[in-house]
Amino acid sequence: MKSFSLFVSSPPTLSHQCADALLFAKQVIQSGHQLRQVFFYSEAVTIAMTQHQANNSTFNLHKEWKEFAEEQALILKVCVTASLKRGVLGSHEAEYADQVSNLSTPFEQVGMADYFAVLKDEPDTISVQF
Amino acid sequence: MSNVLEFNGKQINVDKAGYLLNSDDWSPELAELIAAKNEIELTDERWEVVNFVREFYIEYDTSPAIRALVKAMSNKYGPERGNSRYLYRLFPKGPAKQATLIAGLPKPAKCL
Amino acid sequence: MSEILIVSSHTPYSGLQADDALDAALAASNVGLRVSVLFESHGVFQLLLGQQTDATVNQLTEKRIKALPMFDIEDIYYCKQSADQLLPEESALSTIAKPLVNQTDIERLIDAHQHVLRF
Repeated sequence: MKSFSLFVSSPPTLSHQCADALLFAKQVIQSGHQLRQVFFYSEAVTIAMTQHQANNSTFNLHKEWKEFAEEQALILKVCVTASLKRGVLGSHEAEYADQVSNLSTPFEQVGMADYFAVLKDEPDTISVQF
Repeated sequence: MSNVLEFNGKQINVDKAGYLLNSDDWSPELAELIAAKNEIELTDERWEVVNFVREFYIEYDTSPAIRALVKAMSNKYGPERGNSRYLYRLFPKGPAKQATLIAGLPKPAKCL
Repeated sequence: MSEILIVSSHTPYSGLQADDALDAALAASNVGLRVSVLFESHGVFQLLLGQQTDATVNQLTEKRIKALPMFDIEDIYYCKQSADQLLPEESALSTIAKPLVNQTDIERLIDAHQHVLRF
């Protein structure tokens, strides 16, 4: 069994990469490997925004990631520094800025150190970037 | 998001953690006020670190995180002052955090 | 020790990609990963000296790159072919970055790292 660390950083509306990342994540699980962590950075942090709307027949990337993570009891890590610059705020950051939060579980704002600490402490994990 | 610090009859804008919103508002006298509000007495040793952190920011456009602060201090002042024990003794709640606060610099990046 | 190569391929001040790359390099180094940085394609513009700010720029990329050794990042490279193709002749570049002349040098650099992130 292999361990995978997914780093999702592509702009979600400019290519299929972020959807491919989800397909890959599902494939990792289906193949009996470990999905060790999923981390969103750069423009991909906007996937975490709660307010994504799509009519029922449209593929909704936020909803799909959310449902997958909830099924797997997985936390979707979202870089706090990248988020703040792009208007994505979890409850703690929202309170600090007197703003309304637009990020909630299974998404969670963390420092980048969180992602890299796993790479450092678990040398067997395979990092894949989308 | 904006709180206010009263200083010399002026209203200085700060964020919830007390960081200056406009670094041009800083002065050594204001630093004394910020330090006092955080129950820190600015001794010569602490001023050295505060001034050092300001120099670091001017040179690198980045507020130093603790490791970089230790390394840069060590480069300039040697290991007696360039070590985290010394810095934590001066600023027990976190040298990078407290020195940058008093120095009127932007809050260090959350990810470091 | 795990090693990570950060590849920075965008111009500075044209969006957040250059900053995102540097932020990632610093964060990775801060947890104790050994970090190398490669400036290639339009990323070589980040190495031009004499950058100046205006009110739209928060941080000078030139200064942030100068700070990398303070964050224990010293293995810094740039693709000489990209520089030759994209930059004006006789451009003064930051000496912090060492040129990689051949494609095979770059391939070897990538192979030498367990993790690679591209921005």
